[in-house]
Amino acid sequence: MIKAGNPSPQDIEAELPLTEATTFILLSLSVEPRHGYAIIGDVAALSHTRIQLSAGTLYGVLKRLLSLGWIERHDDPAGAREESGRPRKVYGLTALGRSILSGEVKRLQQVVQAARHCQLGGLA
Amino acid sequence: MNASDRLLLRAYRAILRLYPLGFRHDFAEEVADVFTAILRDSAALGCPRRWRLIVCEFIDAVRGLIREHQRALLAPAFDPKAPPTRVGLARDVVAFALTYTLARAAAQAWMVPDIVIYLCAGMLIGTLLSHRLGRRPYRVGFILGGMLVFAGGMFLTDLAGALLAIGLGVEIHLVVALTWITEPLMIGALAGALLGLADRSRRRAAGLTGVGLLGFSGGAVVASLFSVLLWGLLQAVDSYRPGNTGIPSDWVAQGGRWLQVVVFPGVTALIGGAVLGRLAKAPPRRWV
Repeated sequence: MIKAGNPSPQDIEAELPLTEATTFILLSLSVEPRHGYAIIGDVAALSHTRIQLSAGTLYGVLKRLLSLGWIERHDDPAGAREESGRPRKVYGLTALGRSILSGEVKRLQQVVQAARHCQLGGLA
Repeated sequence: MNASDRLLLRAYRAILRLYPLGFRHDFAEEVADVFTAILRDSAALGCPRRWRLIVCEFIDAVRGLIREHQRALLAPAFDPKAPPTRVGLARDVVAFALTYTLARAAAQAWMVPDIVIYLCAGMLIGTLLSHRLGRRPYRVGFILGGMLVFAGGMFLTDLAGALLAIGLGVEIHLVVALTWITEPLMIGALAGALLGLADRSRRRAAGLTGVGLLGFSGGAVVASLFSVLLWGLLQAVDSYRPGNTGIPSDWVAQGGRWLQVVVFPGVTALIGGAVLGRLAKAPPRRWV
Protein backbone atom coordinates (compact mmCIF):
# COMPACT_ATOMS: atom_id res chain seq x y z
CA MET A 1 0.00 0.00 0.00
CA ILE A 2 1.34 3.44 -0.94
CA LYS A 3 1.69 6.00 1.83
CA ALA A 4 -0.16 9.28 1.33
CA GLY A 5 2.01 12.22 0.37
CA ASN A 6 4.20 12.17 -2.67
CA PRO A 7 4.07 8.73 -4.32
CA SER A 8 6.86 7.86 -6.75
CA PRO A 9 6.00 6.83 -10.33
CA GLN A 10 7.11 3.29 -9.44
CA ASP A 11 4.66 3.22 -6.51
CA ILE A 12 1.84 4.29 -8.81
CA GLU A 13 2.83 1.83 -11.52
CA ALA A 14 2.73 -1.00 -8.99
CA GLU A 15 -0.98 -0.33 -8.44
CA LEU A 16 -1.83 -0.45 -12.15
CA PRO A 17 -3.76 -1.57 -14.12
CA LEU A 18 -7.02 -0.78 -12.36
CA THR A 19 -10.21 -2.69 -12.99
CA GLU A 20 -12.70 -1.02 -15.26
CA ALA A 21 -15.19 -0.45 -12.43
CA THR A 22 -12.49 1.13 -10.23
CA THR A 23 -11.34 3.40 -13.05
CA PHE A 24 -14.86 4.63 -13.75
CA ILE A 25 -15.58 5.18 -10.04
CA LEU A 26 -12.38 7.23 -9.67
CA LEU A 27 -13.24 9.15 -12.84
CA SER A 28 -16.67 9.91 -11.47
CA LEU A 29 -15.22 11.16 -8.18
CA SER A 30 -12.53 13.21 -9.93
CA VAL A 31 -15.22 15.69 -11.02
CA GLU A 32 -16.74 16.26 -7.57
CA PRO A 33 -17.50 14.34 -4.37
CA ARG A 34 -20.57 12.15 -4.84
CA HIS A 35 -22.79 9.85 -2.76
CA GLY A 36 -23.25 6.15 -3.55
CA TYR A 37 -26.36 6.33 -5.73
CA ALA A 38 -24.94 9.29 -7.69
CA ILE A 39 -21.77 7.30 -8.38
CA ILE A 40 -23.85 4.42 -9.82
CA GLY A 41 -25.68 6.84 -12.13
CA ASP A 42 -22.53 8.68 -13.14
CA VAL A 43 -20.58 5.50 -13.89
CA ALA A 44 -23.48 4.27 -16.05
CA ALA A 45 -23.50 7.61 -17.92
CA LEU A 46 -19.70 7.75 -18.35
CA SER A 47 -19.57 4.20 -19.68
CA HIS A 48 -22.64 4.66 -21.91
CA THR A 49 -24.61 2.22 -19.68
CA ARG A 50 -22.03 -0.52 -20.35
CA ILE A 51 -21.16 -0.67 -16.63
CA GLN A 52 -24.15 -0.97 -14.32
CA LEU A 53 -22.84 -1.13 -10.78
CA SER A 54 -24.99 -2.78 -8.16
CA ALA A 55 -25.05 -1.41 -4.61
CA GLY A 56 -23.16 -4.46 -3.27
CA THR A 57 -20.40 -4.21 -5.89
CA LEU A 58 -20.07 -0.44 -5.51
CA TYR A 59 -19.60 -0.53 -1.76
CA GLY A 60 -17.15 -3.43 -1.99
CA VAL A 61 -14.98 -1.26 -4.26
CA LEU A 62 -15.49 1.88 -2.15
CA LYS A 63 -14.43 0.02 0.99
CA ARG A 64 -11.24 -1.13 -0.71
CA LEU A 65 -10.48 2.34 -2.08
CA LEU A 66 -11.04 3.88 1.36
CA SER A 67 -8.66 1.38 2.94
CA LEU A 68 -6.05 2.19 0.27
CA GLY A 69 -6.47 5.92 0.96
CA TRP A 70 -7.43 6.73 -2.61
CA ILE A 71 -10.77 8.20 -1.64
CA GLU A 72 -12.20 9.78 1.50
CA ARG A 73 -15.66 9.82 2.99
CA HIS A 74 -17.43 12.62 4.81
CA ASP A 75 -20.91 13.98 5.49
CA ASP A 76 -22.54 15.83 2.61
CA PRO A 77 -21.51 19.50 3.02
CA ALA A 78 -24.96 20.53 1.79
CA GLY A 79 -26.45 18.70 4.79
CA ALA A 80 -28.53 16.37 2.60
CA ARG A 81 -30.15 13.37 4.24
CA GLU A 82 -31.12 9.91 2.98
CA GLU A 83 -34.75 8.77 2.94
CA SER A 84 -34.04 6.95 6.18
CA GLY A 85 -33.13 10.30 7.78
CA ARG A 86 -29.45 9.41 8.08
CA PRO A 87 -26.96 12.14 7.05
CA ARG A 88 -25.84 11.44 3.49
CA LYS A 89 -22.19 10.41 3.06
CA VAL A 90 -20.22 11.57 0.07
CA TYR A 91 -17.00 10.21 -1.36
CA GLY A 92 -14.20 12.35 -2.78
CA LEU A 93 -10.87 11.66 -4.42
CA THR A 94 -7.71 12.17 -2.34
CA ALA A 95 -4.43 13.49 -3.78
CA LEU A 96 -3.14 9.90 -3.84
CA GLY A 97 -6.27 8.71 -5.66
CA ARG A 98 -5.84 11.50 -8.20
CA SER A 99 -2.20 10.46 -8.83
CA ILE A 100 -3.26 6.84 -9.32
CA LEU A 101 -6.04 7.87 -11.70
CA SER A 102 -3.60 10.05 -13.68
CA GLY A 103 -1.24 7.07 -13.89
CA GLU A 104 -4.03 4.83 -15.16
CA VAL A 105 -5.18 7.40 -17.72
CA LYS A 106 -1.59 7.74 -18.99
CA ARG A 107 -1.33 3.97 -19.24
CA LEU A 108 -4.58 3.77 -21.19
CA GLN A 109 -3.36 6.56 -23.49
CA GLN A 110 -0.23 4.51 -24.20
CA VAL A 111 -2.43 1.52 -25.02
CA VAL A 112 -4.52 3.63 -27.38
CA GLN A 113 -1.37 5.08 -28.99
CA ALA A 114 0.04 1.60 -29.45
CA ALA A 115 -3.24 0.40 -30.97
CA ARG A 116 -3.28 3.36 -33.36
CA HIS A 117 0.32 2.71 -34.32
CA CYS A 118 -0.46 -0.94 -35.06
CA GLN A 119 -3.53 0.05 -37.05
CA LEU A 120 -1.43 2.48 -39.12
CA GLY A 121 1.08 -0.32 -39.73
CA GLY A 122 -1.76 -2.48 -41.02
CA LEU A 123 -1.46 -5.00 -38.15
CA ALA A 124 -4.87 -4.40 -36.57
CA MET B 1 -42.92 2.57 -0.86
CA ASN B 2 -45.48 -0.19 -1.33
CA ALA B 3 -45.75 -3.48 0.57
CA SER B 4 -43.79 -5.56 -1.94
CA ASP B 5 -40.95 -3.01 -1.96
CA ARG B 6 -40.86 -3.05 1.83
CA LEU B 7 -40.64 -6.83 1.73
CA LEU B 8 -37.79 -6.65 -0.81
CA LEU B 9 -35.95 -4.14 1.35
CA ARG B 10 -36.33 -6.40 4.39
CA ALA B 11 -34.97 -9.35 2.42
CA TYR B 12 -32.05 -7.21 1.21
CA ARG B 13 -31.33 -6.03 4.75
CA ALA B 14 -31.38 -9.66 5.90
CA ILE B 15 -28.56 -10.42 3.42
CA LEU B 16 -26.64 -7.34 4.61
CA ARG B 17 -26.85 -8.62 8.18
CA LEU B 18 -24.74 -11.62 7.12
CA TYR B 19 -21.83 -9.42 5.99
CA PRO B 20 -18.73 -9.20 8.23
CA LEU B 21 -19.17 -6.84 11.16
CA GLY B 22 -16.70 -4.22 9.88
CA PHE B 23 -18.52 -3.87 6.56
CA ARG B 24 -21.93 -3.85 8.23
CA HIS B 25 -20.85 -1.19 10.69
CA ASP B 26 -19.40 1.10 8.01
CA PHE B 27 -21.63 0.56 4.99
CA ALA B 28 -24.76 -1.53 5.59
CA GLU B 29 -27.05 1.46 6.14
CA GLU B 30 -25.68 3.23 3.07
CA VAL B 31 -26.06 0.13 0.88
CA ALA B 32 -29.66 -0.24 2.09
CA ASP B 33 -30.28 3.45 1.29
CA VAL B 34 -28.93 2.98 -2.23
CA PHE B 35 -31.10 -0.12 -2.68
CA THR B 36 -34.11 1.91 -1.50
CA ALA B 37 -33.29 4.56 -4.11
CA ILE B 38 -32.97 1.87 -6.79
CA LEU B 39 -36.38 0.44 -5.81
CA ARG B 40 -37.91 3.91 -5.93
CA ASP B 41 -36.43 4.91 -9.30
CA SER B 42 -36.92 1.53 -10.96
CA ALA B 43 -40.70 1.83 -10.46
CA ALA B 44 -40.74 3.95 -13.62
CA LEU B 45 -39.23 1.09 -15.64
CA GLY B 46 -41.29 -1.66 -17.19
CA CYS B 47 -42.01 -4.72 -15.08
CA PRO B 48 -39.50 -7.12 -16.73
CA ARG B 49 -36.66 -4.57 -16.65
CA ARG B 50 -37.40 -3.65 -13.05
CA TRP B 51 -37.39 -7.25 -11.86
CA ARG B 52 -34.22 -8.02 -13.79
CA LEU B 53 -32.55 -5.09 -12.05
CA ILE B 54 -33.78 -6.20 -8.62
CA VAL B 55 -32.70 -9.80 -9.19
CA CYS B 56 -29.24 -8.54 -10.26
CA GLU B 57 -29.03 -6.47 -7.06
CA PHE B 58 -29.82 -9.54 -4.95
CA ILE B 59 -27.34 -11.74 -6.82
CA ASP B 60 -24.62 -9.11 -6.41
CA ALA B 61 -25.46 -8.72 -2.73
CA VAL B 62 -24.87 -12.47 -2.25
CA ARG B 63 -21.67 -12.36 -4.32
CA GLY B 64 -20.51 -9.37 -2.26
CA LEU B 65 -21.29 -11.32 0.91
CA ILE B 66 -18.93 -14.11 -0.14
CA ARG B 67 -16.28 -11.64 -1.33
CA GLU B 68 -16.34 -9.60 1.90
CA HIS B 69 -16.00 -12.70 4.09
CA GLN B 70 -13.15 -13.86 1.89
CA ARG B 71 -11.47 -10.44 2.26
CA ALA B 72 -12.03 -10.43 6.01
CA LEU B 73 -10.39 -13.85 6.30
CA LEU B 74 -7.42 -12.96 4.10
CA ALA B 75 -6.94 -9.45 5.47
CA PRO B 76 -3.70 -8.62 7.34
CA ALA B 77 -3.93 -10.30 10.71
CA PHE B 78 -3.07 -7.56 13.18
CA ASP B 79 -4.37 -4.03 13.04
CA PRO B 80 -1.94 -1.80 15.00
CA LYS B 81 -4.51 1.01 14.94
CA ALA B 82 -7.01 -1.10 16.88
CA PRO B 83 -5.09 -3.57 19.08
CA PRO B 84 -7.14 -5.68 21.49
CA THR B 85 -7.98 -3.83 24.68
CA ARG B 86 -6.06 -4.57 27.87
CA VAL B 87 -9.31 -5.00 29.79
CA GLY B 88 -10.65 -7.48 27.23
CA LEU B 89 -7.48 -9.55 27.32
CA ALA B 90 -7.25 -9.44 31.13
CA ARG B 91 -10.89 -10.57 31.38
CA ASP B 92 -10.25 -13.49 29.04
CA VAL B 93 -7.02 -14.52 30.76
CA VAL B 94 -8.69 -14.49 34.20
CA ALA B 95 -11.68 -16.40 32.80
CA PHE B 96 -9.28 -18.93 31.30
CA ALA B 97 -7.31 -19.31 34.56
CA LEU B 98 -10.52 -19.86 36.53
CA THR B 99 -11.96 -22.34 34.02
CA TYR B 100 -8.69 -24.21 33.74
CA THR B 101 -8.28 -24.39 37.52
CA LEU B 102 -11.84 -25.57 38.03
CA ALA B 103 -11.45 -28.17 35.29
CA ARG B 104 -8.18 -29.38 36.83
CA ALA B 105 -9.78 -29.57 40.29
CA ALA B 106 -12.81 -31.37 38.87
CA ALA B 107 -10.53 -33.83 37.06
CA GLN B 108 -8.85 -34.59 40.35
CA ALA B 109 -11.97 -34.73 42.50
CA TRP B 110 -14.49 -36.41 40.22
CA MET B 111 -12.28 -38.02 37.61
CA VAL B 112 -13.51 -35.64 34.91
CA PRO B 113 -11.81 -36.74 31.66
CA ASP B 114 -8.73 -34.80 30.68
CA ILE B 115 -10.39 -33.86 27.40
CA VAL B 116 -12.48 -31.32 29.37
CA ILE B 117 -9.28 -29.61 30.53
CA TYR B 118 -7.85 -29.66 27.06
CA LEU B 119 -10.98 -28.07 25.65
CA CYS B 120 -10.81 -25.36 28.34
CA ALA B 121 -7.18 -24.66 27.46
CA GLY B 122 -8.08 -24.60 23.79
CA MET B 123 -10.61 -21.88 24.59
CA LEU B 124 -7.77 -19.58 25.67
CA ILE B 125 -5.87 -20.23 22.48
CA GLY B 126 -8.93 -19.55 20.35
CA THR B 127 -9.87 -16.44 22.33
CA LEU B 128 -6.38 -14.95 22.06
CA LEU B 129 -6.32 -15.74 18.36
CA SER B 130 -9.63 -14.00 17.82
CA HIS B 131 -8.28 -10.97 19.75
CA ARG B 132 -5.18 -10.87 17.59
CA LEU B 133 -7.10 -11.29 14.38
CA GLY B 134 -9.72 -8.80 15.54
CA ARG B 135 -12.47 -10.42 13.50
CA ARG B 136 -15.48 -10.64 15.68
CA PRO B 137 -17.65 -12.51 13.18
CA TYR B 138 -15.25 -15.41 13.42
CA ARG B 139 -14.66 -15.28 17.18
CA VAL B 140 -16.70 -18.42 17.92
CA GLY B 141 -15.01 -20.19 15.01
CA PHE B 142 -11.57 -19.34 16.36
CA ILE B 143 -12.50 -20.46 19.85
CA LEU B 144 -13.83 -23.79 18.54
CA GLY B 145 -10.76 -24.14 16.28
CA GLY B 146 -8.42 -23.46 19.22
CA MET B 147 -10.27 -26.06 21.30
CA LEU B 148 -9.99 -28.67 18.57
CA VAL B 149 -6.32 -27.97 17.82
CA PHE B 150 -5.35 -28.02 21.46
CA ALA B 151 -7.41 -31.10 22.31
CA GLY B 152 -5.87 -32.85 19.30
CA GLY B 153 -2.35 -31.76 20.30
CA MET B 154 -2.78 -32.92 23.87
CA PHE B 155 -4.31 -36.22 22.74
CA LEU B 156 -1.20 -36.86 20.63
CA THR B 157 1.05 -35.90 23.57
CA ASP B 158 -0.81 -38.32 25.85
CA LEU B 159 -0.60 -41.02 23.20
CA ALA B 160 3.14 -40.43 22.86
CA GLY B 161 3.48 -40.62 26.66
CA ALA B 162 1.53 -43.87 26.80
CA LEU B 163 3.59 -45.40 23.97
CA LEU B 164 6.75 -44.26 25.74
CA ALA B 165 5.55 -45.90 28.94
CA ILE B 166 4.81 -49.15 27.12
CA GLY B 167 7.95 -49.08 24.98
CA LEU B 168 10.46 -48.14 27.66
CA GLY B 169 8.65 -49.72 30.55
CA VAL B 170 8.35 -46.39 32.38
CA GLU B 171 5.90 -46.39 35.28
CA ILE B 172 2.54 -45.06 34.06
CA HIS B 173 2.26 -42.98 37.26
CA LEU B 174 5.39 -41.16 36.23
CA VAL B 175 3.91 -40.45 32.80
CA VAL B 176 0.70 -39.17 34.40
CA ALA B 177 2.72 -36.99 36.77
CA LEU B 178 4.63 -35.61 33.80
CA THR B 179 1.31 -34.48 32.32
CA TRP B 180 1.23 -31.80 35.02
CA ILE B 181 4.32 -30.30 33.45
CA THR B 182 3.72 -31.07 29.77
CA GLU B 183 0.15 -29.76 29.79
CA PRO B 184 0.81 -26.08 30.61
CA LEU B 185 3.90 -26.14 28.41
CA MET B 186 1.83 -27.44 25.51
CA ILE B 187 -0.72 -24.66 26.10
CA GLY B 188 2.05 -22.06 25.92
CA ALA B 189 3.77 -23.60 22.90
CA LEU B 190 0.59 -24.20 20.88
CA ALA B 191 -0.89 -20.80 21.68
CA GLY B 192 2.38 -19.10 20.72
CA ALA B 193 2.63 -21.13 17.51
CA LEU B 194 -0.94 -20.32 16.49
CA LEU B 195 -0.49 -16.62 17.27
CA GLY B 196 2.63 -16.65 15.09
CA LEU B 197 0.87 -18.50 12.29
CA ALA B 198 -1.93 -15.93 12.48
CA ASP B 199 0.73 -13.37 11.45
CA ARG B 200 1.50 -15.64 8.45
CA SER B 201 5.15 -16.11 9.31
CA ARG B 202 6.79 -19.42 10.13
CA ARG B 203 9.75 -17.64 11.70
CA ARG B 204 7.46 -15.64 13.94
CA ALA B 205 5.52 -18.80 14.78
CA ALA B 206 8.76 -20.46 15.91
CA GLY B 207 9.69 -17.40 17.98
CA LEU B 208 6.28 -17.09 19.57
CA THR B 209 6.20 -20.82 20.33
CA GLY B 210 9.37 -20.28 22.37
CA VAL B 211 7.91 -17.23 24.11
CA GLY B 212 4.69 -19.11 24.92
CA LEU B 213 6.69 -22.04 26.23
CA LEU B 214 8.83 -19.75 28.38
CA GLY B 215 5.75 -17.90 29.64
CA PHE B 216 4.06 -21.04 30.88
CA SER B 217 7.36 -22.55 32.16
CA GLY B 218 7.98 -19.34 34.10
CA GLY B 219 4.41 -19.49 35.35
CA ALA B 220 4.91 -23.08 36.49
CA VAL B 221 8.15 -22.20 38.34
CA VAL B 222 6.52 -19.24 40.12
CA ALA B 223 3.46 -21.35 40.90
CA SER B 224 5.69 -24.09 42.37
CA LEU B 225 7.57 -21.59 44.55
CA PHE B 226 4.30 -20.01 45.65
CA SER B 227 2.83 -23.44 46.48
CA VAL B 228 5.94 -24.44 48.46
CA LEU B 229 5.79 -21.15 50.36
CA LEU B 230 2.14 -21.63 51.25
CA TRP B 231 2.78 -25.28 52.16
CA GLY B 232 5.57 -24.18 54.53
CA LEU B 233 3.25 -21.57 56.01
CA LEU B 234 0.53 -24.18 56.61
CA GLN B 235 3.00 -26.48 58.34
CA ALA B 236 4.35 -23.65 60.43
CA VAL B 237 0.85 -22.71 61.59
CA ASP B 238 0.09 -26.37 62.26
CA SER B 239 3.22 -26.76 64.37
CA TYR B 240 1.84 -24.27 66.91
CA ARG B 241 -1.37 -26.21 67.52
CA PRO B 242 -1.72 -27.60 71.08
CA GLY B 243 -0.84 -31.27 71.42
CA ASN B 244 1.29 -31.33 68.29
CA THR B 245 2.73 -34.84 67.88
CA GLY B 246 4.76 -34.05 64.77
CA ILE B 247 2.21 -35.65 62.43
CA PRO B 248 0.56 -33.06 60.17
CA SER B 249 -3.16 -32.49 60.76
CA ASP B 250 -5.76 -33.54 58.24
CA TRP B 251 -6.40 -29.92 57.24
CA VAL B 252 -2.73 -29.48 56.41
CA ALA B 253 -2.86 -32.57 54.18
CA GLN B 254 -6.04 -31.23 52.59
CA GLY B 255 -4.37 -27.85 52.15
CA GLY B 256 -1.44 -29.48 50.38
CA ARG B 257 -3.84 -31.20 48.04
CA TRP B 258 -5.59 -27.91 47.28
CA LEU B 259 -2.25 -26.29 46.62
CA GLN B 260 -1.45 -28.98 44.07
CA VAL B 261 -4.86 -29.08 42.43
CA VAL B 262 -5.97 -25.43 42.56
CA VAL B 263 -3.12 -23.04 43.34
CA PHE B 264 -0.50 -24.56 41.04
CA PRO B 265 -2.60 -24.68 37.83
CA GLY B 266 -4.30 -21.38 38.70
CA VAL B 267 -1.09 -19.39 39.14
CA THR B 268 0.55 -21.09 36.15
CA ALA B 269 -2.43 -20.28 33.94
CA LEU B 270 -2.59 -16.68 35.16
CA ILE B 271 1.08 -15.94 34.53
CA GLY B 272 1.28 -17.91 31.27
CA GLY B 273 -2.02 -16.40 30.10
CA ALA B 274 -0.78 -12.88 30.91
CA VAL B 275 2.37 -13.48 28.80
CA LEU B 276 0.28 -14.79 25.91
CA GLY B 277 -2.18 -11.94 26.33
CA ARG B 278 0.73 -9.53 25.97
CA LEU B 279 1.70 -11.35 22.78
CA ALA B 280 -1.82 -11.05 21.42
CA LYS B 281 -1.77 -7.30 22.08
CA ALA B 282 1.70 -6.46 20.78
CA PRO B 283 2.26 -5.66 17.11
CA PRO B 284 4.07 -8.59 15.42
CA ARG B 285 7.37 -6.83 14.72
CA ARG B 286 8.01 -6.09 18.36
CA TRP B 287 8.30 -9.75 19.28
CA VAL B 288 10.33 -11.49 16.62
